[in-house]
Amino acid sequence: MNKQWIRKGSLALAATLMLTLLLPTGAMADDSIVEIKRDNVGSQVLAYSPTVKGLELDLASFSRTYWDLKETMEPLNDIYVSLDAYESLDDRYKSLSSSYSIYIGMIASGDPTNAAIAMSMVDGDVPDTDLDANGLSNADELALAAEVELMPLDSYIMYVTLKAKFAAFGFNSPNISRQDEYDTFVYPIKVAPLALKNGTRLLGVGIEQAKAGIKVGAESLFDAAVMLRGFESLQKLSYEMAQDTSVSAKKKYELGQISELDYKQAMNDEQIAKLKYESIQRDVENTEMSLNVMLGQPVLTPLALVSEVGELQTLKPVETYIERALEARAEIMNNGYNRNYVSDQVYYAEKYLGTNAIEYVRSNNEFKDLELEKAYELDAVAADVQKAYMSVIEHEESFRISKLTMEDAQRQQKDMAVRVELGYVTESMAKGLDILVVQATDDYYKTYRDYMSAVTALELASGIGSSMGGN
Amino acid sequence: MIKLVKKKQLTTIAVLVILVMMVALPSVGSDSEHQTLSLATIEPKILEDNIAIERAELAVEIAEVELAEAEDNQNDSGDSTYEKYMNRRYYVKQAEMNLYVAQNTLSETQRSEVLSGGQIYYNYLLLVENIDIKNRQLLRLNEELNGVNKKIELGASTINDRTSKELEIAKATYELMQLQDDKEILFLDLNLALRQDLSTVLVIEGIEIPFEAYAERDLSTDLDYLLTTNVDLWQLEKQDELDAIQLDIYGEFDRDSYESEAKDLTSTIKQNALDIADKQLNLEYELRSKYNAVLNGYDSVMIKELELDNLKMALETLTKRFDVGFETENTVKAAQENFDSGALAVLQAKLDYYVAVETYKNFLN
Repeated sequence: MNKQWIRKGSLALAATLMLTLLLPTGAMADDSIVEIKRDNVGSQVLAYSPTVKGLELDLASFSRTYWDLKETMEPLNDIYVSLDAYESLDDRYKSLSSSYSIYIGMIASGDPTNAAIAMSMVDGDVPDTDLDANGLSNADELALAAEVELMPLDSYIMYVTLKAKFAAFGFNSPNISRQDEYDTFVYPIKVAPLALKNGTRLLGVGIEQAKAGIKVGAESLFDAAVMLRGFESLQKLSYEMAQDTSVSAKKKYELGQISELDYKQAMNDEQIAKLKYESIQRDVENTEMSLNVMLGQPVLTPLALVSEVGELQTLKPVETYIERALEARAEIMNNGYNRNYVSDQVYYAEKYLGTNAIEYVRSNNEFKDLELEKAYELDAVAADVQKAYMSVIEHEESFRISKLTMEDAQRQQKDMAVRVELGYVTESMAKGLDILVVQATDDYYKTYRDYMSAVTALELASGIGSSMGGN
Repeated sequence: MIKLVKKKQLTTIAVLVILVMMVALPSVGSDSEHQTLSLATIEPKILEDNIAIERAELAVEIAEVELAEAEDNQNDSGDSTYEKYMNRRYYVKQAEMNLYVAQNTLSETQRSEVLSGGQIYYNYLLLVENIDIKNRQLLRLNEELNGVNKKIELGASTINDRTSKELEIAKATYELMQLQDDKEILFLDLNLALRQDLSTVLVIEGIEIPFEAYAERDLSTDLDYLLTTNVDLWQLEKQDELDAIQLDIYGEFDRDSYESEAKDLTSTIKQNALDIADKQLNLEYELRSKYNAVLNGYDSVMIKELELDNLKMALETLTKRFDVGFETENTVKAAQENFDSGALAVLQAKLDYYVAVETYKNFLN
């Protein structure tokens, strides 16, 4: 019975390894079995991944922080943009010859209440005697008579208000030094938000990289599960062969054809094969549980792992991939974002502080470093893509060889079947070949999966890159 | 000679589980302190002056202080209404959670330090035994080389035979060097685990690798227990409760001022649900895979014992054949080495099983 199973089982494996190997142990057609295809296991895992969702949440929060900061900076920005007005009002104020002239100006508004309030804010002595009804009514005339300029009350109030606002920052005149202007206004309003904006962009790139890493991780786990199922099938065959050997050894021992030692060793070998088979079943279970966790489904969900051998990809010239990588790779993108950010810092530092300022020197050096880093990264990325490209070619070749090997093993198996039927060889002699066919078939699928992994690696290398590399 | 071999073989079989040896590393310096170790003395030494444990104890102390502070401030009105509400409803619960987590981390650290220290200790012993086997193998190979040289002189062997024997010796020598390097590293690791001077000479007394079949577990019961006791899951659930309280506080007053924070927190609460469900899945996976490791560990011991049984039978047969002059002494010696390696593999498997069982137990605690 076992012999028959092995022959049938191995043929079935050779013919339909995908179905036989990839169904869960002992599972027949069952509605509860979840079919997972290698092609979309990555996207399924990404759709569930709490890690990805958490990162996206961080990005949203980070992005909100940027806009919150911009909003928080609005009042400061309002003050900063009024600096020109303050400067012009201050010039005008100072151009007036005395507080007396201002006094006239206030009277000129014809509103004694406001004039009194404004007066209280004026520095210096003001002749109180002029605050009478006559004075209020004929301010213009008085002004003309005194040959002084007038400052309208609303301008004066604006001037005093601005003066108070700037004084709150420790500035008693609009003549603020460039360093102070940079530190108090330019840095918090313009430069600091740039850091957050840049951080948001880098985080966005990091998330894309993490997604790519998770996708590759899911595919690798899928491959590991399929590979282990292959080992499980082989171990099952080994166990059944050991059972056969043990039965045969018992008979031979009883007939006195072999020693007690050989018989006992055959019994032990059968037990060893059984225990190894059980162990590998648990290994398969562990790997599939892990895959289920990644997919967000109950850990014991039975899986049908579909890993079809598809068409081999037609590679484009390597330059195409390199060109794509030089735009899409995370390290290149990050370098670009960082350079933009730092070049803005350089611009503001130069404009407000000059080229001798430490802020300028530091930012400029950082920019130069980024330029050097970019040059290095361009070379490194190109080399990386070339390596990944060569790996695809090598794996493609390896797959072709494994296909030929499998076909050859299958041919030998057919020949052997004929010889067994004709009685030239015994069935037990054919068993070794059965295992060879299973191994070759398993290897055929494995080399295809390896080839697909190499293709994915090339896609990654010419796309966002792996999460291991880059910034 | 063969009688001695037999006697040793019997002894090894009889006390398969027990590896008794006196091991002393060459003195690094003449002033080096000698440290006699046994299973009984190792555990308190691992726990004593342990940096990881001290750090975990400190974390507990800090968490206690923070809890006391939060309790003191419970009725403070704070700088804002938000702070007042947080003082009343949030900070104490948060500090309680942190204290519980810190206490758990402490006991977990203690358990894992004992387990990893013990593992180094056992591995060190197994390595010493392995070196002994390798030394005996080298002696035998050198004897065989002498034999080949004599045969070459007599014209009964070729230069190729000598070359292949020399290659075997070179390979065994290289392996011995690697084992000795590993031993040096483990020696340092062991002194580090025992928090003592790295030049301390370790004298190790008899050691028994614990081996006891772990009773079969009902995984559903263990899982239910784990889901109610696991501190990581508990912390996620507790943090979710705290987030809900904080969101409630945001909602009670001053919505506009905390609009952005409330938005973030609402998203965090949604994420919490995902994280909790994912943690539950992961815990079940970890439980089942750790239990599978226990079962595989046990099977591995059984496999190694069966393989040892095969080696034992082979050795017995060869010994009998040697007794009647059908085998050479070196053939028996090689079989003895294989048997000793097999016995060592059993011990290694038992150690792996012990670690798997303790890891499972620790995970449940």
